[in-house]
Amino acid sequence: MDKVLDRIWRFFSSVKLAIVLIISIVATAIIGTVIQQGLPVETYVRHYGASTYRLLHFFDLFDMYHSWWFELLLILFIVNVTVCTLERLPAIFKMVSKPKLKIPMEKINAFKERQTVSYGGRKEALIASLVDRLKESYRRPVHTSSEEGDFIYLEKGRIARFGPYVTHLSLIIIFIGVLVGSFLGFDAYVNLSPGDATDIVRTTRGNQDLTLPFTIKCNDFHIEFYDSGIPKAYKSDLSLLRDNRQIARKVIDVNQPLTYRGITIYQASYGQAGASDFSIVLTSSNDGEEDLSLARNQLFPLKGDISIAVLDYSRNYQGFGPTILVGVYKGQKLQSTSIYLEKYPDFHGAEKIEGYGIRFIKAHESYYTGLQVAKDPGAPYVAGGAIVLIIGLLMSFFSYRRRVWLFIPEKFDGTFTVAGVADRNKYSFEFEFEKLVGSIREICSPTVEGKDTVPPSPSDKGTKDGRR
Amino acid sequence: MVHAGSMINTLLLSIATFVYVGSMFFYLFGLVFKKKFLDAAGFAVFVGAFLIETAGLIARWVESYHLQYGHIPITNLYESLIFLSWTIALTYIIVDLRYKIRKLGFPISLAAFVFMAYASFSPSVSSRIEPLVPALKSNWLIFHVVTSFFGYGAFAMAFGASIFYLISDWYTKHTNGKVLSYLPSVRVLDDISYKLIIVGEVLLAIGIVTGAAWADYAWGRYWSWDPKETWSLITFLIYVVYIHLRYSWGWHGRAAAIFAIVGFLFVLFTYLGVNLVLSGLHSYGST
Repeated sequence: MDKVLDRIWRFFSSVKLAIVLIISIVATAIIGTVIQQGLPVETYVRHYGASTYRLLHFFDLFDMYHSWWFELLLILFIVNVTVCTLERLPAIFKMVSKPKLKIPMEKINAFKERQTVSYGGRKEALIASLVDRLKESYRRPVHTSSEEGDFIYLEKGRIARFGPYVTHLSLIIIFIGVLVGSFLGFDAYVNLSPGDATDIVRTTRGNQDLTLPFTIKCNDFHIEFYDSGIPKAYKSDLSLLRDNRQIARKVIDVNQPLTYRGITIYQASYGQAGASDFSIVLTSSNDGEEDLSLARNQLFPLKGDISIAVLDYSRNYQGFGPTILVGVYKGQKLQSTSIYLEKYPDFHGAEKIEGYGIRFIKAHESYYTGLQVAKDPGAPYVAGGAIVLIIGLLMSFFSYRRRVWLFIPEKFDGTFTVAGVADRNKYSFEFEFEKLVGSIREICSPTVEGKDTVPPSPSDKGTKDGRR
Repeated sequence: MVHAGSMINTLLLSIATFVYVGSMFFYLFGLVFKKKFLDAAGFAVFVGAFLIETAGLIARWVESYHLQYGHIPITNLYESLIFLSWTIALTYIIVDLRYKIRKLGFPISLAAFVFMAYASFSPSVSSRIEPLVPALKSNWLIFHVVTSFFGYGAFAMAFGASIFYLISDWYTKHTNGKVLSYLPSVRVLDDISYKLIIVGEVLLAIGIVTGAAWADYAWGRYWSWDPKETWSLITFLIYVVYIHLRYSWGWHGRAAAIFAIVGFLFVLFTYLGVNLVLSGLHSYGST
């Protein structure tokens, strides 16, 4: 039994599995962007045909991000990340808290970054000045000695060792937030006309009725348009009621929701409700002016058996602003039509009908407000996880741990070894190592050191071994 | 409606487009004739184009206030293309000042020009300053777009460095070890490409997170698998794979360069492809 568990554990602790899972998630996620998700069944059948529809439906490809197999992939990935983190973290802690200050010669000789530096003075002076001068760029050079010789240990970017684990931890936090949200939260919508109130909303997924612990009342809905006809702002004046008492009131806007006890109401959309009214002024030389309010297609008797009706309306007709199309009827028969512009009352000489002038004043459109009602107790975890994610990425990427040992042999013959290794980012480390060796040479050069040293001969000015 | 003001920004931006072409030719001649002063001239002209472009963007911002719309010029396809070329140019100038890789100027000025020209001359892209729909009126807009686009800029630079890596690598292989002296060494190119990818990855992560925060604030849903969201996550994951291959398996050099080039195709699709081919909330491609 233990063996089985052990094998499962090892299976989930591999980076190879992580890469396979990520590529699977990527490949399948693409499908969901190509096949539009969540459309009505008829649309799919019309587009793909019945048999293809059945096949795609069998694999949940019309709601694939919530399908069992996609969620399984995500869960496997999270398990993978968790196991990888648990597997490696203890060793990392140990490695960081107890750095190897001394290191055997065979290991030093195996390092790719290794150079010999010569120094003409006494060993003690060398160690003292190295420890002193290297403090500038390395937090704490540690000097230790053994029978073989003296070591100076330099380290940078220790925190980077934890970066990947902080990043992985953030994914686990986000996942917990998603789980909390999906079990304890909901996401619903409701459409309300001004004056309406309800405590029942419909869930976005599953399309079921849900009763809220309060009643939402829409006191008013207001919409403004740009001249081009696209909406500029839409706002709902909402009251929340409990036992007929108002417990909250706010005018909500897109990007300005109302939150009450963890339930948030968002201005999501709007729509046209019922008939619109059109204000029109009729003018005639005999009767003067008469204000009219007409619904669409409502016949208004003008004179004898001649009547007019507003047949159509455009918020922005060919760039000229709000416009109505008026039909002239003789009995029930449409005789002619003409257009009237709100902003240009004299357009077309404002065609007269049977001696009556028509001026279009304003359209009163009636709208309903589309509200989204959501509760997500997991969102704070997701937000916290997202912040941890960014911190983890910064820790991992903008730092990396690199260690350098300076080995000065017991029998000091005027040369010592500098060897270093980076946990990753080895290419960048090559540059840094060369720079470090350069500055060590400078520390060892007679111009800096002064009296105690002899200039090194050109022949032993450091040999580049370990590299061809 | 043509406002007297609305000419200035498009005029400046058109001039910048042509100045980018100028710098591109200097860089091209620099590559052909291997003269340092041509590269220096290319860089100077490039910085000039960048400054004109910056002035154009500022003019556009100011003019949007004259039109009473008052919004940062990053909200439709035209503006986003201009802004992308601007972020690529700025990223290049910073990287050049730090690493002295002037030779990258040729592909970068080419890219800056192509995005500007697409914005200015494609009949399907309108240069009009449009008012904002209510959903875009949020302070998150600036953070979200700026971080995402600088991420795109960094990935684009990594793409350029990786192409140069392959050219240099190919040259060395086919000339029995000769080095293409006028390009940075392959080691430097590999390192720059990697560093730009991690910068891009962090910026992309911040872009995704700010987008999710915004969506949660506006609609109560931080993630809804909208195609743009999904594709930005896909791009993020592609570079996650790159980073793990590099860290855990030591991938670098040619394999990493090819990976960075393929990765940039995902970036391009996330930026343009999603809007031009697929449908969703990020509507700037529908103009």
